[in-house]
Amino acid sequence: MRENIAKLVAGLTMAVVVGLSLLFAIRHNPGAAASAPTRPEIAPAPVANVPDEGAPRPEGPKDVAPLAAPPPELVARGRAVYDQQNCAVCHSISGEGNPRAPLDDVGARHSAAELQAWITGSGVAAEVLAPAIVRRKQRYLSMPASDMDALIGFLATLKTGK
Amino acid sequence: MTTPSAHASRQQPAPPRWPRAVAWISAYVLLAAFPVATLLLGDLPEGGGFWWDFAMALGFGGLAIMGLQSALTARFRRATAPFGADLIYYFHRLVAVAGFGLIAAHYFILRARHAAALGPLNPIEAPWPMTAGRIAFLLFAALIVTSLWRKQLRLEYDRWRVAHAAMAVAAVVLAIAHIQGAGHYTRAPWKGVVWAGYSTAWLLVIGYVRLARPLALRRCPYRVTDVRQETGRAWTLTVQPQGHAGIRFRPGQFAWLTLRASPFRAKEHPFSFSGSAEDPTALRFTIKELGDFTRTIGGVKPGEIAYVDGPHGVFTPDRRPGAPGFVFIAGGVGIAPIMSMLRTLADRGDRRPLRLVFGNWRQDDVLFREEIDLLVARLNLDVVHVLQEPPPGWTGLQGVLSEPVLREAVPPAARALEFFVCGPKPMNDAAQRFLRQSGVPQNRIHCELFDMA
Repeated sequence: MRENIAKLVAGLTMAVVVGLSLLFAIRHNPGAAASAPTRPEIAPAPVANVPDEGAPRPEGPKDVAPLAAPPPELVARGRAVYDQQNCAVCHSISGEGNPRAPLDDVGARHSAAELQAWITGSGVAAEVLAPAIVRRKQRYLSMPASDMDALIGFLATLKTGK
Repeated sequence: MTTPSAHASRQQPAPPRWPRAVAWISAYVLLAAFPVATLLLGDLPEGGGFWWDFAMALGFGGLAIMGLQSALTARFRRATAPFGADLIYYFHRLVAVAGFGLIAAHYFILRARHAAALGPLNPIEAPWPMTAGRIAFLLFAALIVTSLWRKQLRLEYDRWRVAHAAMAVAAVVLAIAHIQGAGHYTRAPWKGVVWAGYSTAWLLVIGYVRLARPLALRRCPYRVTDVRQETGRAWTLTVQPQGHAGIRFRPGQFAWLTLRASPFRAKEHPFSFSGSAEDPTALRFTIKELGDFTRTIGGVKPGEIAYVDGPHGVFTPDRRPGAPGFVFIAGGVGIAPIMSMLRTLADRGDRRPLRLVFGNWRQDDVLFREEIDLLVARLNLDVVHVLQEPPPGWTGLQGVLSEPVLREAVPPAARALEFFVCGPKPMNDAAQRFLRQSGVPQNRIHCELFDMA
């Protein structure tokens, strides 16, 4: 049956595409089995030629002045801003959201000023991030100051890497 | 049936087709796999987790397959020649489901494992790349549903074709925008070049299908010279080339015919040639009133302009020049390509043994009855008519062309010949089952994969 040729080629195409997809997923997640947790490694990201989307940790952990513990209301408000701005489309916290740019330990690695620079794609972030991402982040320059403070306060609590 | 007194085929032995077939299949698989393969090359950010990266790669693979769909149906003659356009269209439908499966897997894996990364559904709140991806996904789903169940959904063919093309273009454009806007994997400059190349090639194929080919057709018009009513609500349309040499076809092949419309409007329908391939002056199509378009054929007037995109198809005895003889099994208007074969063989003076098993509802429905009787005198041809409702005194076979009837119609001696089957799908399926059970090898059974008659 000539149909069998079509079925064979369709099956072959699917096998090659799915096989390469599996190879890609395994190669870029060494040690991760199919059942592995989705949370990415918290290890510092290297400075790459192709910077990741807004992950504010291109230089790895460093000594920063610890932020004073923000009041719980501010943290709650910051979490609401995080959700409202759909930050999880590009970032993840505790495995929730886009795992390519985890924020789990940003509070331990960055000062409030640095966090603001990473949020708005300015300062050091503008030098490291891809131009398209910088443009996307710069819309947060117009965010109300109270929202920005709350968001920074919330991010400052993310120190555990968990 | 008698032993052939002469073997009068004029066809030269065909060159082996499988090397070209393998080359085209390899090219297709490589093109479908290339976008995923490029993910494995060059610098990449660290992994996003197994399921994340697996879902992303599946999305790339799904889009590559969907993007290639337009190339499959672009009717590039060199590419379709080893397989036949019917097989390519069959593959187009089959692989569309597979490609959509990959895209669905891409979405549902992310939905299950990283729902927050998809953002809100509301397009006002959602980032535009996510909205583009969602709309592309819905368009791909709509393409599958409206194509696989077009008749059940009662979608008129011409409108469906326009909607199909529009939805396919929109879906691929939105999916590429989704990748460019949301993806992390295409930012390396050389990958940007690769994707730009892919997108450009895709646009060129669309341009060829929608502009270059219609333009070429418009430069080679045909004029309707005769519209003849046949028995059983069928019409034979004769067209002649106007200001050009026309085309040469092989008996059993088909063409896409455009009537009363510009070739740019894509209002074309596939019909088998029913005339002799040895007559270079005119093309004949025998068309039965079965649908919205075919019901208008009787109203076509001589002098009208037609456009012919063809020939296409591998359903032809000319691909089997060494065959000892042929058995034709036809049902209803499925006789059209078979008539082309019989007329051509008669014009060539072919004396190989032939048998025609022709099923119809009633005697009055039998197309070309008188001409078939005349062809018996010109060919080494036996004819077996099978009627479901025979007239009183009928001594021939009765019933549908099912396996028991075919057992009587095709004696064991004839089973060593080549078989060409054309008719309604249930008849095609029954004939193929019977032939396989009778020990006829698969490569001697020839059947179109869709109703082209």
